[in-house]
Amino acid sequence: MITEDMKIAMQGILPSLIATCDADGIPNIAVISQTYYIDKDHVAISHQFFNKTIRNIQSNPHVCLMIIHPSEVAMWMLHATHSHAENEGELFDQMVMQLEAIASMIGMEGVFKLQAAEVFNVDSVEFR
Amino acid sequence: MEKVEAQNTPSEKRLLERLERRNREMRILKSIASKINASFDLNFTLHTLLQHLDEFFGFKHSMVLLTSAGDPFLTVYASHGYTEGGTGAKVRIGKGVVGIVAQHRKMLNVPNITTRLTYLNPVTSNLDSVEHEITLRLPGLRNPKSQAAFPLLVQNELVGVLAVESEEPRIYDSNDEEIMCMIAEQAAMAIHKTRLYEAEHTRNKEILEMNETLSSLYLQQQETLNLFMKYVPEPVVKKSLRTKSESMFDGELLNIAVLFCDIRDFTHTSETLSPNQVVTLLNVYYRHMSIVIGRYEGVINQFVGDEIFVTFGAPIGIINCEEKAVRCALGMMEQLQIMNEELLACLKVQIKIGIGINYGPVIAGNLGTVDRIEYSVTGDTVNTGKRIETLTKERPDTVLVSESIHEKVKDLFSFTPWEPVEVKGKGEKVAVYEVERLMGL
Repeated sequence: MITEDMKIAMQGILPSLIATCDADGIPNIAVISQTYYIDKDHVAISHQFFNKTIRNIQSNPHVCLMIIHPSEVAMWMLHATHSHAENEGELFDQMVMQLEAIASMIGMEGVFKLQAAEVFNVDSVEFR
Repeated sequence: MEKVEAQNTPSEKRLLERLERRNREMRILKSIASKINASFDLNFTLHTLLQHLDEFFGFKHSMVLLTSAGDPFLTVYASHGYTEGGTGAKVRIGKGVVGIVAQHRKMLNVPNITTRLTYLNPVTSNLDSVEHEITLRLPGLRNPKSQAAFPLLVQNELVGVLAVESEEPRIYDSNDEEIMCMIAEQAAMAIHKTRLYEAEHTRNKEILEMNETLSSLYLQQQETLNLFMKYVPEPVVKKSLRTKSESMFDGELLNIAVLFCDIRDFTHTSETLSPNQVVTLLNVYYRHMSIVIGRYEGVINQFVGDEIFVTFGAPIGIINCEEKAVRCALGMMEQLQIMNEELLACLKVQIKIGIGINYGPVIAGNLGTVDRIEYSVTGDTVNTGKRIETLTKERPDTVLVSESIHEKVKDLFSFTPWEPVEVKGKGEKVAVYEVERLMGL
C-alpha cells in the first residue's frame, strides 16, 4: 500500500499532518515531525507528551495522515486506524535513537522521553 | 534485446531495473571490500573506503570515527569531502547521531535534522540560536540537513562509526541503508584486521627491543657476577642466588672443618719489599693456595693480609670435610715448594707458612644489612682453629690439627701429638696434633 515515493514523503523533510477526532467528534490537526514506516501496511508516530492527538486516538482510533514528498510536492492522505502502542522492541529503539540524536544536538539529551511508538494500520491511501 | 524489453510489462521493467541496480551495487560492494581489505595500513584503508563511497554512491561528506578502550569519545580517523580534515576531532558516545549510533550499536538515519530540531525545541523559538548550537565540533558540515551513521561492529564489539551527511535534505532510502550496512560490516572487519596487525607489529617491535635490553642486561649481570665471584666465594654466590631474599639472613648451625693458613714472619719479609712487591707476593701466594683449596672443595672465606681462612662444609655441605681439610693442608705444603721457586725467581724471597685446622659447630649465614652483606662463619670452632694455627709460629711449615679433627682422621694420617697447650680464651689445655707430612700424601 505504501510505495517507495511515499516512504520519502514520510521522512519529514516536509512535516506530516495528522487529523484526529475526540469522543464528541471535535477534530484536531497536529503537525508531526516524522511518520515512521514499518511495512507497507503499517506506520507509527512517536508519543512523547500526553497531548491532544494521543488523547483523541484513545477514544477514536481512526486518523488521517497527510504526507508530502519534498521534491515532487506530491501529497498522500493515509486513512489509518490506531492498532497498539509499543514501548520496547526494534521499532521503539529506532525511534528512541532518532529522538536522542536530535535532542543531544541541542544539549537536551534525556529531556525528551519517548513514551511509546503508536502503531497504525493503514486502511487506504489517497493520492492528492 | 530491445525486442524482449519492449515486451516487458511496466512491473516487469521495474523488477528488471531493481535487479540491475542490485547487481551493480553488489559488484561495487565486492570491489570496495577487496580494496579495503588489500592493505594493512589503517589510514589507507579508511581513505579508500570514503573515496569509494563518494565515487560509487555519491556520499560527498563522510567520516570514520574509531573507539579506543576506556575512552568515552570516538575519534575521527578519516574524513572525506570537508575543507578541514578534522582528524583527531572527538565525539562523545551518546551525543549526536554518531554518538547515539555508538551507544546503541544500531544504524540511524536522520534525514531531516533541521526540521526536527524545531519540533523538539518549542521553548526556543529563535531558530538562529538552535542552529548555532547544533554546530558540531567535528569536521562535519556546519548545518547538516541529513545524517546517517552506521556502527562498525566486529563480533558485536564496537570498533567505530561510519557516518555520512549532506547539506541537502538528502534521502538515504532503505536500499542505501542496506548497502551501507554491508559496507560497514566489511569496513569493520578491515579496520579490525589493520588494528590487529598494527598491534602485532608494535608488540613484535617491543618484544625485539625488550630482548635486546634483556640480553644486554644479562651480559652486564654476568660480568658483574664474574667480578663479584672474585670477591665472594662462588658457592656463596650461587647459594644466595638460589635463596629467597627474605631467608637471606637466616643463620644455620653447621658442623664444618675450618682451616687457617698464615705466612710466618710475614711482617719481616714484607719490610724488605716495596709495596708493589708485597702485593705481587700476596697475589702469587693467594693464587697458588687457591688452586689447591679449590681442588679439595674448600671455600675461601677471607683473605686477611697474609691469612687465608678456608671452610670445608659451608655454605655447601660436603662429605668427609675433616679429611679433605687435612689433605688440602698437605697439598698446600706441597704447593709451597713450587710457589717458593716462583717467588725466588721474581722477588728473590721465600716464605714459610703454618696451618691450623679445627672441626666443630659454627654459625653460618649472611651478616650485614640489605645493602652490604657478608657470608660469615663464626663460633668457638673458628676462634680455636685460628689459635691452633698461631701455635705454628715457633714451628713453621707445620700442619696442626685439633682433637676433633684427629679423632675423625687418625686412621688416615700419621700424627705426632704435641703437649696439650693453653689456648687463649680456653680454660682447659687443648690437645693438638701435628700431621706427619710424608704419611698422608
